[in-house]
Amino acid sequence: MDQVHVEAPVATAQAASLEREFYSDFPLVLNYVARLVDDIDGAVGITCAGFRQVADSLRHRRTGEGLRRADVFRAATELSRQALKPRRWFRRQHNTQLSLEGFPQTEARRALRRDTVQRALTALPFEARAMVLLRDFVKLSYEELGDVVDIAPRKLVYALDRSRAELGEIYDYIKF
Amino acid sequence: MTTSSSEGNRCTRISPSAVLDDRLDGKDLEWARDHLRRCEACRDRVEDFREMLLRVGRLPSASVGAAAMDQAFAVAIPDRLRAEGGSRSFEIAPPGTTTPNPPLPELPTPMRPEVSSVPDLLIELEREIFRDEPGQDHPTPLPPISEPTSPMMTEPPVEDLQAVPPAEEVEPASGPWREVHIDSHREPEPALRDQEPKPVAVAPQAEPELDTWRPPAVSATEAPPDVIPAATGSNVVFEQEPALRFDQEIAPATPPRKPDTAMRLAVGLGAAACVLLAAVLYEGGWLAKGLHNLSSTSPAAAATVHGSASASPRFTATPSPSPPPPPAPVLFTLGNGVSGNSVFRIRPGTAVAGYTRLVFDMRGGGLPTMIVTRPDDLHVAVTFKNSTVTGIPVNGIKSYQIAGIEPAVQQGADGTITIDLARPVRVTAFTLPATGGYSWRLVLDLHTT
Repeated sequence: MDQVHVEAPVATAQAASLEREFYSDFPLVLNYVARLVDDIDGAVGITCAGFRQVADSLRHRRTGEGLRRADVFRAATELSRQALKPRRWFRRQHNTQLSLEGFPQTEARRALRRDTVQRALTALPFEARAMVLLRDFVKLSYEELGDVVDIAPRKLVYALDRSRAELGEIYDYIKF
Repeated sequence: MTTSSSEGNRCTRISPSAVLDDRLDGKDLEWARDHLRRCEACRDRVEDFREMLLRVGRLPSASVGAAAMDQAFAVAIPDRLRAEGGSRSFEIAPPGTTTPNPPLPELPTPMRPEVSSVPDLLIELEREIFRDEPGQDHPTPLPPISEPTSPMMTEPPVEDLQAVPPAEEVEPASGPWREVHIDSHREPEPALRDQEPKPVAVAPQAEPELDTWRPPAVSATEAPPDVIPAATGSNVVFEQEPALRFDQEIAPATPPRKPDTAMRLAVGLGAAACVLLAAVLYEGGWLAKGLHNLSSTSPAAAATVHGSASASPRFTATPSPSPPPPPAPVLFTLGNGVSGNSVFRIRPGTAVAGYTRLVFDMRGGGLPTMIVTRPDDLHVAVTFKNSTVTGIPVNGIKSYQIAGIEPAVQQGADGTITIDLARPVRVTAFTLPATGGYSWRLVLDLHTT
């Protein structure tokens, strides 16, 4: 007797690819956001919200498209910018933190400690910080980086030059 | 990609990012290679960038556990996409296989509160703000007030049990108010309230004011009399007043937004007052200073200035009569006795947690005699015999061990540099000969004790 396995192959493949993309990218995005906002506790909520945004937008796209890394990083960057935006004094502070089961373990906190490089990064303007982290820490390609930060690849070199130079100056200044 | 600008004397014709990220090709690449071979400044810049790039690239990453990842996946990816990967393609929807259609009931329960809160934060904030404001602006929020009364009608019976004797018909409206009042302050008030209407009949015109002042009116003793006329009045608003008068607790219930705006206004006014005060103080200080300067031209002020001036010479004279301080303990004596050297730079060396390294660069044919002394616990002095030390930049040298470096002092042929310590340290010192691009050096390590 032949056994026939009936399923929806396309759907399964897409679900699998979605899951694979999420599991491969989530730690990277989380670390990026944690470095960007300099807050490991707040990074979890922002990262999940970024993935959620991109996943929600999938319904408006062609079938077969999965989570694009650049989209996730773009959403995460935008949410981080909003999170860091100074609050108006009359606006209430909302609790945006989302706790994952046993996530910020001791090792994670130690890994994301505020060493000199992290302090220098924190002192950078947001755009420059995002650019340096995306290129040097996450190691996005120029095309992906251009998608995330909305800068033409041709101008990206100069923007990166400025950001890295500023980071170097700050690092030299605070390293003692 | 290259740049054609230059910063002062430093060549910046090469874009380090273009070189490091392999963005050059063809003629540009050839030109950049050729230029880098010849231009040391550009080479240094590229090296600096490479170091910084490596530092950022080597930043450690936090690992995420499997449980946390699963939880994040459940939170971040909608059920639709998770369970049936292609289900978002509603047109695909395999006929019978895709049975689970409860995404709608499922979504709101576990995920919505957590995930949606993050992206919608600002929207919620603004919604709250705009929801507050209309309530404040419109003086007719009475309908909303009547709403809370209906649910509260259920509660008053409990109080009515306690206060059964007093009025019954009018009470239901005031019942809820009284309830809060009893909890917050005193029980006897209902009785007072019943009694008070009679004595206080003189202040009926003050009622409108009372409306406005109820929330702040904490004086419960004075309030009741005013309330009574309100109760006797036929207006619905008056019926609410007595309750407001009695209880401070109630005030937050009815005008919850008023205090908010009042507080905002108060804070705003306070901030404005602070700014004005600061401006006045600043101007006042400026004026006072100007006046002081003007007055200093008078003979009396001149006398005071002289007095202070006379103090400084006296201060300098004091060290001379007290010779004991000079014999500071000598920590090290280094050098070969060469004369005619000049110290031209002090630079902090390696930054390690345990100690700070100071390197004194010297020009000359060898090492002069250098004496490291410690006048007290928080100072270390380095004396360079027969050497020039003036004009050394010492600004900005600070660390965990070093509070600062005082400007070098030239005393005859000898020069002295004093290091102000932030805390007691253990000092070690050694010298280095001139090698390569380096000059003669004295190295001072200040270890945390």
